[in-house]
Amino acid sequence: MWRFIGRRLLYAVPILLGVSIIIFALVQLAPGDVTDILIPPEAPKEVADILRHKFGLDRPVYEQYFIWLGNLLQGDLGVSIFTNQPVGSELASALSNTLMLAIPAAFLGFTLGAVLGVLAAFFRGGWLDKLFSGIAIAGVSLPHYWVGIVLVAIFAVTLNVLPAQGMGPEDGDVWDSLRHLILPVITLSLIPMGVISRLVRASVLEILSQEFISALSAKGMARRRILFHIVKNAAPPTLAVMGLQFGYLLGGSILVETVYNWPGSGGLMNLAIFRRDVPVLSSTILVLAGIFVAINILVDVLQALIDPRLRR
Amino acid sequence: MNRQTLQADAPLSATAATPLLSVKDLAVRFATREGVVEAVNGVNFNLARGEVLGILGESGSGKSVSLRAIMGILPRGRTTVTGSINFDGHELLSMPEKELDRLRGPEIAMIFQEPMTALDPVFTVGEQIAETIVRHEGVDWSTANARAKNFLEMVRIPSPERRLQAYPHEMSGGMRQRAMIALALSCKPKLLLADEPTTALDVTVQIQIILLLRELQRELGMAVIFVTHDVGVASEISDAVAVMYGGRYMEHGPAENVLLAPNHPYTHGLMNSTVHGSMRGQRLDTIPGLPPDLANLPKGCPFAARCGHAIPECEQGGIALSAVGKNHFSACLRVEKEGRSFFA
Repeated sequence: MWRFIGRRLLYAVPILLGVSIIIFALVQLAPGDVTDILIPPEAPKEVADILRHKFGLDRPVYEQYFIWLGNLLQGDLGVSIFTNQPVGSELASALSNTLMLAIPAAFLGFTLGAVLGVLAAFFRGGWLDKLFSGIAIAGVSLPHYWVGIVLVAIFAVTLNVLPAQGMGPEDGDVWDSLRHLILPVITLSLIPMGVISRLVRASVLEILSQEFISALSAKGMARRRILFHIVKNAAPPTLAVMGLQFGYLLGGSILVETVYNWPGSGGLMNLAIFRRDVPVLSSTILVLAGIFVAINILVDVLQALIDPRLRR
Repeated sequence: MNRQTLQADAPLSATAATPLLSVKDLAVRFATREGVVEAVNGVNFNLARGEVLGILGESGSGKSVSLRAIMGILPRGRTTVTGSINFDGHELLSMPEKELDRLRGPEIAMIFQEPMTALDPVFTVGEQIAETIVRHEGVDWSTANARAKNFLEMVRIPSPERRLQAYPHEMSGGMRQRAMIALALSCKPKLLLADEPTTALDVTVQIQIILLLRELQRELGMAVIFVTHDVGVASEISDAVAVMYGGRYMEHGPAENVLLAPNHPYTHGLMNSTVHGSMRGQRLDTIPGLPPDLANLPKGCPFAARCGHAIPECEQGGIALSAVGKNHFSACLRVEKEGRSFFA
């Protein structure tokens, strides 16, 4: 098992290196640079050259890449060209805001999705199955920014029971902060809920059709114990998709963040793109990619712990 | 010519006073999109304590479905099971699931054709045996594990201590089937249902498993219903043999009578189409035609269309098992009419 974990960690190194090259190359390929945004077009060319030199943009591309990578390896994510703030602190604040939504949204979506999926499978073809399948498909297919607007219209505007946007005042009490979480968390949980419930329904149906379920009945096992067998068998594929879904949530949803005016990682990246803020953009993407890879390694390990056939 | 229709409560084995299992008019129907599939159509038999019944038949003859009906593990909802299954004084068909769960395991156990799929792939073999013991004997897990090890020893799995920790995919087919037998025997059942337990195995392993099962059956004194399509396997293990076709018993009696002096034209055809002994160079007689469509069974004898001895009345229906010898029954109109010398 330890060898398995070690190998997975080793695989992560080339993946992240590749990701860093792709990110850097894509940012370079985009036309224009930060000087186009920072200084007016009628400014003399020398001003732009001084700025380029200051940011190291006049160096050869590969040098720029290695400087960036070297700094990253030392834990230095660079400095934002636009705000002059360290990228690390900007990212930390945006990512913690995103996590504040992503963790409860994942928890809600995964739990609800798993329960609905299992129930739909057990009552296959019945009205409960049709109802839950309808909910799941709606969750996946409705645009979630639209759902967000509708929720705001209902709960904030019409009923006036929940705040429409923002994180609440800095010095607000816990309850107030929690109230601000409710609508964005529900909005974000819809897609994971739908995806997980469809997947769980399909895997449970597949498991129920297998002979060992008959064999468990044939040895008189309690319903609870049979459910445990089903859950353990359905867990590996479900965990894989949960890992991916949680990764997407961490990237932040620019649309949902916009609807709720939530300063998360999606907004940070969006801003960096429009400002041509290369250090913010590339370091943020790389950190998110790193987290994504880490989550997937964790999922791989969990899967292998549950299903010994995956320990290769 | 004294015709005697089989009375379901007439003991098959002369030694048994009350049968362990008494099946009457068992019928199983599946509702499918193509129509109603009549998988089992009125099966009657008694099984004495410690008796081994071999049910012989082609695929689709209803033999496995009969076993699953006794075990109560047919898919619910689209399955209708009628008749009566009396096990040791309990009527299984009307029994609530919860009570049935107290019989399944400690009283009736089952082994399956493909142990790879009948064992849960993500639990160790030890866990799967021990959970049965914990469930039915109320002991703690460490006691159950110790007992599981004893059962692995009993089915002669080498280094059982280590095998307890093994997952099904880490064992060979023969080992897996031994583990499955250990699992089935772990609560010392009175009745073991074996659903083609040797079909998926290599021939050399088949023999080992058959010999093991026969030995354990004698040691534990349990009754066994052994379903197989292999005449050799059936003759190896059975006290009594039933031949099934189209969801019915065609012939039923002591193994040596049924297999050596078959009375029903179908059994006869089955024996002629079986390779055995010094048959090199001889032509193998096959039964012409195909088994009947269970969604569209003929009214009369299901075998009539393929039977070389059929007469028009065979298609009319109402053919019951009738006695052709001591404890020997056959469901053939012509045997009934013309006596035992039909194939002599």
